[in-house]
Amino acid sequence: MKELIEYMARSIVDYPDQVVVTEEREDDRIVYHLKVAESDMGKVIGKQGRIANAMRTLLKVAAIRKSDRAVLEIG
Amino acid sequence: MKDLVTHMAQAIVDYPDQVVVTEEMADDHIVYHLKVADSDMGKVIGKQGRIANAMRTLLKVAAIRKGTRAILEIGEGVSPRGAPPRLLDEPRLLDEPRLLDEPRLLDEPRLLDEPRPLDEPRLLDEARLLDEPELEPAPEPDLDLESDLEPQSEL
Repeated sequence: MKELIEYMARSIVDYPDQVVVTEEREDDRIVYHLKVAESDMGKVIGKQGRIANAMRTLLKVAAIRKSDRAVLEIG
Repeated sequence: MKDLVTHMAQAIVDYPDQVVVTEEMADDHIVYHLKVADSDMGKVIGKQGRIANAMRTLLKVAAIRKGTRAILEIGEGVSPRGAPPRLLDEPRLLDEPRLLDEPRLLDEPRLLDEPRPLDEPRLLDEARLLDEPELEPAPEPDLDLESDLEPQSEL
């Protein structure tokens, strides 16, 4: 799932080499922290969070497939 | 971008090895055909197309970054021959609006023609009655101006 976030983020940012995803176990869920170049923040969030929510939707489904729960945090 | 579609689809299906993405250039945009196992169709589309739209959102942004446009089409990947008959569903969508347009054309002229001749004269008469009294008090300010001039003449 970490690879999925990295792949999605790298495809939409201007600086793919600055994309960093870290994961953290938190009880029954995994929290993914996505960090990108400051100038790319708008790109991964999108208008009214559309891009962020699209990534969350796909992450959620990917997590369900693995009988897990995942949360995506940006910044 | 083909890899992006492949990655997204493979992350959410039960049979990642059956995910096939083909790309096709069409004028000013690229069309990506995503094919998955029959049983995975619901997974890549999602409730009310939520998953499909999430993938389209990300694909769109990735395409913009590369100065192009991309479209994602989802179809079952069992056999390429199985796909064309599904395209025959589209003409059905074209027939339905025709049936809806006919009753609208009959109803609209009746409703629009009748109220107009009745309303318009009423509005014109009322407006005339309102204008006339306004003209009558108009001379009064003239009298005031004359009275204003009087003190000036005294000076």
